Amino acid sequence: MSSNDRHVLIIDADNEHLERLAAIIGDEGFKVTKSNNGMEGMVKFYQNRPDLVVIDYGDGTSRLETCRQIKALASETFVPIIIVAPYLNDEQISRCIEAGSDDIIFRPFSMAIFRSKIHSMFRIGEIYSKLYTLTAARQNDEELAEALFSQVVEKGNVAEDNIKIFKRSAETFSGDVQLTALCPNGDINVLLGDFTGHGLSSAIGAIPLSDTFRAMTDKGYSSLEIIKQINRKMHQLLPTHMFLAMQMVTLSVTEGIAYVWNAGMEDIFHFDASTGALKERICSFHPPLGITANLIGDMKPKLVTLSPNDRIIMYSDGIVEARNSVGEFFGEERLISASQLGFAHGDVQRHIIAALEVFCEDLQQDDDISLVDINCDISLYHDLGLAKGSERDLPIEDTLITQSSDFWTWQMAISGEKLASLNPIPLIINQLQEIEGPGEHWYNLFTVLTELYVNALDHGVLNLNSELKNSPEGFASYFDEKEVRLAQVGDGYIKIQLQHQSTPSGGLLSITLIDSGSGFEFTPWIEPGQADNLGDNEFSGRGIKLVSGLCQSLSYKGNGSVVNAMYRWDR
Amino acid sequence: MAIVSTVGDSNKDVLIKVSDRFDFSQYKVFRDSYCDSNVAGTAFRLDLSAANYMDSSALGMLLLLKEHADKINGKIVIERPNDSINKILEIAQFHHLMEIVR
Repeated sequence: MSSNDRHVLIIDADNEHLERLAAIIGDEGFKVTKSNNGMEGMVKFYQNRPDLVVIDYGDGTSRLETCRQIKALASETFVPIIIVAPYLNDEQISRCIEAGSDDIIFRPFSMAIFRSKIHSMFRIGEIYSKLYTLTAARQNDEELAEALFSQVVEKGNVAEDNIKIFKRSAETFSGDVQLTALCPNGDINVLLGDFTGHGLSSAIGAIPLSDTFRAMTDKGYSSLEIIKQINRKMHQLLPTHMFLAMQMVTLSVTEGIAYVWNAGMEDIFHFDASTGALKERICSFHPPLGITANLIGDMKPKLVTLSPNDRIIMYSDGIVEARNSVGEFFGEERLISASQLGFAHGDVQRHIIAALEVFCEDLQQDDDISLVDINCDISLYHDLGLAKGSERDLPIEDTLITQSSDFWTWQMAISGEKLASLNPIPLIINQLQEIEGPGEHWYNLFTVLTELYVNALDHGVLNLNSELKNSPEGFASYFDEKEVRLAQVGDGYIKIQLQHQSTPSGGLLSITLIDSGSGFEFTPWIEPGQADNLGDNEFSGRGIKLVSGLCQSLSYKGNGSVVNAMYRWDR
Repeated sequence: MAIVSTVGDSNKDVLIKVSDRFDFSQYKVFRDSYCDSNVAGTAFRLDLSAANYMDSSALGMLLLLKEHADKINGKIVIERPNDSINKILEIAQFHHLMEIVR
């Protein structure tokens, strides 16, 4: 803005003063509007919208009222007011400032001082107007991002009745991300992420994070593979000083356990809601993601055995680091007691938020607050997996291998070290979707392939005894032993062959797996009548029972080292 | 001053002392405290004994210092964090990334 565009309003009851001030200001090249009383001054302010107002102190009270009203009229625009006064005492000065005056100049004053004050006020005015423009632009961006976020990132969360999510952002836009998604085998992945900082800059990573999480969960990748990929993506994407602290819980509906990851966030709590006892804490065991190109060391999830009354509580540091008026933190202890109270009254979220609000009173919140309350009664999630699957019991119509034009075969062999590092199931599912198109009918097939492959690997190649899995404690040692044997797998191999024959309504898939092991005791699990005797709490044997339920036929040969399953699917 | 840095006689030893709050408001001063130290093999010691608060943007600032140190084949050592700052470093598992001496 050049000086010619600037407009100054002068209000002074003394005409001589008024003319003198107007002359000085006019000489500076500013446009001047004069008024010799407060009421008229306000009207002229309203009509001319000046950039600066100079008011005489006059009798004090009524002038200060004019001052107040002008500030009110200016509303969000910054219009500086300079009061011209004879000597004032401390109390009078503070009343001027309270009334909205930005500066006071005492009579008598030199022209030089008056000019300097005017220029200084215009300079401050410019800063204000820049700030105002920037704030408005940022608010606009954040509102856009917020809309995008709720539409793209968080849309598609599942099991909201049993996985309760609460979020409150410190600013419009939050650095916290909460995602849930269903795996092809009915397991559920829950992710709580906290990007460095707040506002728009912390949101750069949110969309690629949710895309990676959803796409990989959907294709059936393991939580380790998902976390590796998220880390890689964030490392490529985020600048050095930004990262993603993240927790992930995979609720394994088939195994009744949870795989828990904690990379740079507060402890995750595992409660027994019936007694309120805190059974376990899962503390951070890896730096936040996106800092290093690859995960550090041998990152493994913590295994948590679940009982129907169990609850897992995940939260962001905004809760425990919320402060009260004397600067104390809300802290873990208050969070734990509020959770326990919540279990007793059937509403964890409400009790935690209420406790937090009482603690912080009306203090402004510094950080985003996120809370995820997972009900660990896995029976609640069974329907989700089934709803996603297709009809199971279908009559046999065709036999395979008719060598028509609608026939294809696909095979792969994995051996040695690759057995430890490669999960072929997502590859196979991808391959199938490439050939036969995507669809929900592959979800059950995913389960079938996974069970057959894990059996071939664990009991065939690695010769592990599944009785180890009969107790929760054994579960962990089973996985430890598996790691040891995988490291020494040597010439072990698994061959997978798929033969597919199209049918009018879909297709018939023959799946054969051959492993290098010496076979295993499979008969008790698939003999008619036997399978149903297995209790739901058994930790082993359910795999084969599940597969035979999903397939038209299941047969083992070579003492169990060759297995064939016939799977039928419909569009 | 919340951040004071001292360069040793050999030019290969930089001591950075952070006081009070170690957060985003210190971004520029913190960066200025090390960015001109480009002698290969410089050891950056970050004395946190007088700092009483650290947030996640300060963790990000540590990563920038580490990046600078790595570029000139130097190293960084975090010294004497108080309990609450140590807790932050522990949650972030930063001992995997840099040396921390209590």
